[in-house]
Amino acid sequence: MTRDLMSSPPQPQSNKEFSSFLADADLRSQYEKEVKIAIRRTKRNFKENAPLIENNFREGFRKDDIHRLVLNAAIFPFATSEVSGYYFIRAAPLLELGVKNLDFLITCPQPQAGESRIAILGEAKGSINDPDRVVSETKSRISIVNNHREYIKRQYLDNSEYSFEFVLAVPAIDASEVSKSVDRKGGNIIVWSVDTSDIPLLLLHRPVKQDEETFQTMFHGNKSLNDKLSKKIDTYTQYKMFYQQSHQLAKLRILFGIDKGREGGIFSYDHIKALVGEELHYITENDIIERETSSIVELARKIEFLEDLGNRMFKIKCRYKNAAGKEHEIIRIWIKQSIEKQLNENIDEEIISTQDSFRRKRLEIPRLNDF
Amino acid sequence: MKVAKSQYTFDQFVNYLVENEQEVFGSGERKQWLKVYLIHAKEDWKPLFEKFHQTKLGEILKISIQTEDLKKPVDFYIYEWSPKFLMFFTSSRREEYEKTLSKFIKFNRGISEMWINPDIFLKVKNYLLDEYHANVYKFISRRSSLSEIYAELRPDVDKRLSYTGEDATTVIKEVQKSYGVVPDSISFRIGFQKIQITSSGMFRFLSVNELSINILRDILKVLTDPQKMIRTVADSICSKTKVVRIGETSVPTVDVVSGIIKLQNIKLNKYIVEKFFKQENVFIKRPREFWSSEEEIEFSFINTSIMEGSFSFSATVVDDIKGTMFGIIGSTDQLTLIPMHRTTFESFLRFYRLIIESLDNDARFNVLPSSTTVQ
Repeated sequence: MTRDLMSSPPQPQSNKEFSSFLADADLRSQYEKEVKIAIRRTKRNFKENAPLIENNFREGFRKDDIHRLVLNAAIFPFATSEVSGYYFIRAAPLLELGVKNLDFLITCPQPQAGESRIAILGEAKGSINDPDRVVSETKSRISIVNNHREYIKRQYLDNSEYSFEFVLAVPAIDASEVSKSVDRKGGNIIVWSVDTSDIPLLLLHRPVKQDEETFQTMFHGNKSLNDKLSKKIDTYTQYKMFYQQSHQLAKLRILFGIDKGREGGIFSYDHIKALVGEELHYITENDIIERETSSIVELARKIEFLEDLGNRMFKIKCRYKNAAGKEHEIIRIWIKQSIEKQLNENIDEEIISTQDSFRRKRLEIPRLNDF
Repeated sequence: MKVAKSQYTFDQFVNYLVENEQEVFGSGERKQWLKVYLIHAKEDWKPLFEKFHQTKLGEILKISIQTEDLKKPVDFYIYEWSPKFLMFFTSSRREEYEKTLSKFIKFNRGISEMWINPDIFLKVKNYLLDEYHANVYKFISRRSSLSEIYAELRPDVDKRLSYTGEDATTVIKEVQKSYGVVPDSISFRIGFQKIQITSSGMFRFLSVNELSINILRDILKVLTDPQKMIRTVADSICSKTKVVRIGETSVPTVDVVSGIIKLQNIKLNKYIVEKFFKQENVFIKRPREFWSSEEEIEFSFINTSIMEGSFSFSATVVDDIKGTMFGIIGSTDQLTLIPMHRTTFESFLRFYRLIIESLDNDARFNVLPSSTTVQ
């Protein structure tokens, strides 16, 4: 797995420090020899695995894009009030708590007569290999959400009473198998199907009735919503370019056209922040928009895609002028830097483990003042 | 082009040009042609030109654009022929136009060259042939390999054809039939008058007389309604966020007006869409004399996805000239345009042009939910 380019794993003690700790000349030379061997071995192994790492990275990025297509399709009709009375409130509503999360929160704050106030928490899946695993994983996320109901209520539901319902939005081709798996695992998840075979459609997947009680838990409590979603709703897979939980590189795409139509291609931090604010329109907290903007700027600078002109002014630094070329370039640099970073981390891990073993050896040697 | 300082109405301005042709355009070998550029601009267009030296001449606004690589400023006389539609009169050479106004249009948002779609362009041509007994003596036509226009010979090859000859009126039709090429630029002769029209909305007149002004007025009549319709669609595509109050709760909502391009003659498939996304050969290098700058990719397609089976596709489109970002989702016979960021009308006008020129000559442009369709 390619690690996050911005992460910072544990560092070994510096060679100088560690050598002086070892004190004994023989032990020191033995340590230095073993470190050299470990580094050589790590580099050799790494070279062999580099294509795999690159492939994993590209696959991770592609999966994030596909996930977003389904997530967009699940959210769009509610973000635009296409489904009357229902509103998209937020993506990843527990993100700020740093816990495993569901992808979206939709609410119905003013239900029609005879229906209830509901909060729909949903997870979107871009592609599914093992429906049982997906359903189990969603169930464990649901239990985390259930542990934070009070927080959600306080934060997003004006402290009012809502019934919670849980949704899994999946590509149409997987909906039937996912639904069967939900049924096997006791229901309580409503399956939405995203059909992209023509103009994208969102619809409620009607489960096959096995057990009446379970069957009922796979529909929304409000009949009007079941009716609406059963009739298929036109939706868009292209809507948001990123969400807070998206891949970092997907977020950089927001910079691809920012320099166009501006004198000298120069733009400001506030221009970036305005685009981030539009993209995360459902977030009202300025500090979150600020944080997202800063992290985009920081990453763009790290991969040398952004030139800092001072005074919070920037320029794009890329040999390609068009967005397709820019994307190609940032992926290339990201992979290169990530691979280098991972190699260095692997080397550090080897050094840490060599240091641990020599630390033990050192402690076994009686010191002068032990006598 | 030097026009005496005065307060002109449009009619007075063009009459002045006719009556003072020699003083304004010169004579003999050094005689300059009158060029009229038709330009789309945002509603509040005057601030766009704030940084240039301006002189108000009644209904006409004169601007002088000076650039580092030109010895003297280039003058343009602007008339707002209809709200948001501007006419720029000048006698400057094509190269001067490219270094000044064309460059300005390219790097500023809210302004764009007018583009006349092939159907309307042919209508203008036929009108000149019928009403003014014009003869075509020169033309440039082109064809994209993805185009579905009928061609007898090698339809799957990108091509550009430039022809000069007294039989050009006939040849223009012959090559359309055999090679499926569509004209971009046509030069006519009407008696001693010479006129050139391009699909980018440029009109050149060798002589400035009553005939040329009548022709200009007639062309505008043919163009006005179709241009207004396409502009209404492009102006409407936008996305607005607002917070609505539902009882005690504030909820964010978005109003999205999308565009839809319906294809008439082509059924898209994986091969065509892949080629289209790469933008490899949808453009044919057009000659400098009627394209504003070096040809380059104008739109990038990122985050692309093509679903096989019952076919569909999607992508995020970046306008590499103006910076607009929008999504597209499509099936075999239509594309939906979803506004995302930095939307400005000219991106959608140019994208529609891209579809017409590279995929389907008869594509129709509309907003969702549907109202009036542009064809």
